[in-house]
Amino acid sequence: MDVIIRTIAKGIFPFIILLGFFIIFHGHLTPGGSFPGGAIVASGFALIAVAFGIKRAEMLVREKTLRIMEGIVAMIIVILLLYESFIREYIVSEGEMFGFWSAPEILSLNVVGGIMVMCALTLIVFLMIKE
Amino acid sequence: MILRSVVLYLCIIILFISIVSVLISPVFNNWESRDVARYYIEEGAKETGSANLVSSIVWDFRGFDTLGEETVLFTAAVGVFTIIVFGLKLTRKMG
Amino acid sequence: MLETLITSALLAVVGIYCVVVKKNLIKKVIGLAIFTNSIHLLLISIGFREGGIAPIITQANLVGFAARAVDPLPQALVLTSIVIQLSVTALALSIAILAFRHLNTLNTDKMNKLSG
Repeated sequence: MDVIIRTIAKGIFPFIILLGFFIIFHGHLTPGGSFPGGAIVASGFALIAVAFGIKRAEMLVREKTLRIMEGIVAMIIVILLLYESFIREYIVSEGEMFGFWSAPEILSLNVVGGIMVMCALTLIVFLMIKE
Repeated sequence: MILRSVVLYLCIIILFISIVSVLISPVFNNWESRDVARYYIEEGAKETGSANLVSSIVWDFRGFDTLGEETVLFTAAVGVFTIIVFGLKLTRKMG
Repeated sequence: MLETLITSALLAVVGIYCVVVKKNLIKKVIGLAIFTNSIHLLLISIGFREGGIAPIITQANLVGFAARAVDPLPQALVLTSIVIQLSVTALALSIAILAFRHLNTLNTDKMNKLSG
């Protein structure tokens, strides 16, 4: 792409990633959650891949890393959901209502699910650009 | 084209049937008969501690639905990888 | 209320027409996405309430929240459905890529080779 798109992409990329992680980490307090936040982070990586080419985007995060991370995160999410469904009732944690730690289970599940959505969408975009 | 006009008339018939059938359904715009929604709104924040009720439903009340959703997402990623990397080889082999 | 319904029915008609009549595979996938979005609009409009607010508790709307909030259940189910639509679209696009590499065309009228 030309120099205007490259300059704007370079400047705006950290803020897109920051916005995505803010939406993931505040999923239990504000609108959003795991899927919109993960989609925003993946769109940041897709912007880099479109503006600079797939070689520069693979210097940021490689495709093999994404594959391995997605498998590990999928295993963690199954374990966390089974834990929350069956064991959580006996170790309920108390927090104040509008604080950051008011719902630790939903916070952890949001983070793990957001990372999984990010890995899956980035992997799909990278594979389709490589073709 | 005869196919194009037939499909267009069929689509218009589907449009009217769908509008009328949704308008006469008892669920639509009837707030008094919804006990599940009232329970979620009144008790959901107390039970899970999350201020965002949609997030509490997605991850806590209906957690197994979300487990299936994540399975679908994982399967889609693996399927795209398989089709793009190994697909042409397999179709050439099958002929 | 009624305008949401009519919009969703119109989008459903556009989607079905695009899936059935168009010859290009990419346009068929776009029609499928439009049809799914019309169903999402219909499901969201089931949770409608007169003068409703978003189902998120804050310090400002704590008083009288239960009398004004809309139904959060269709929103959660639509959030699940969006992810499934994305997966279906990604798989359909990759199958279209495979068909183009195998047959060198995207037109469904020209995909008439029986073998080889």
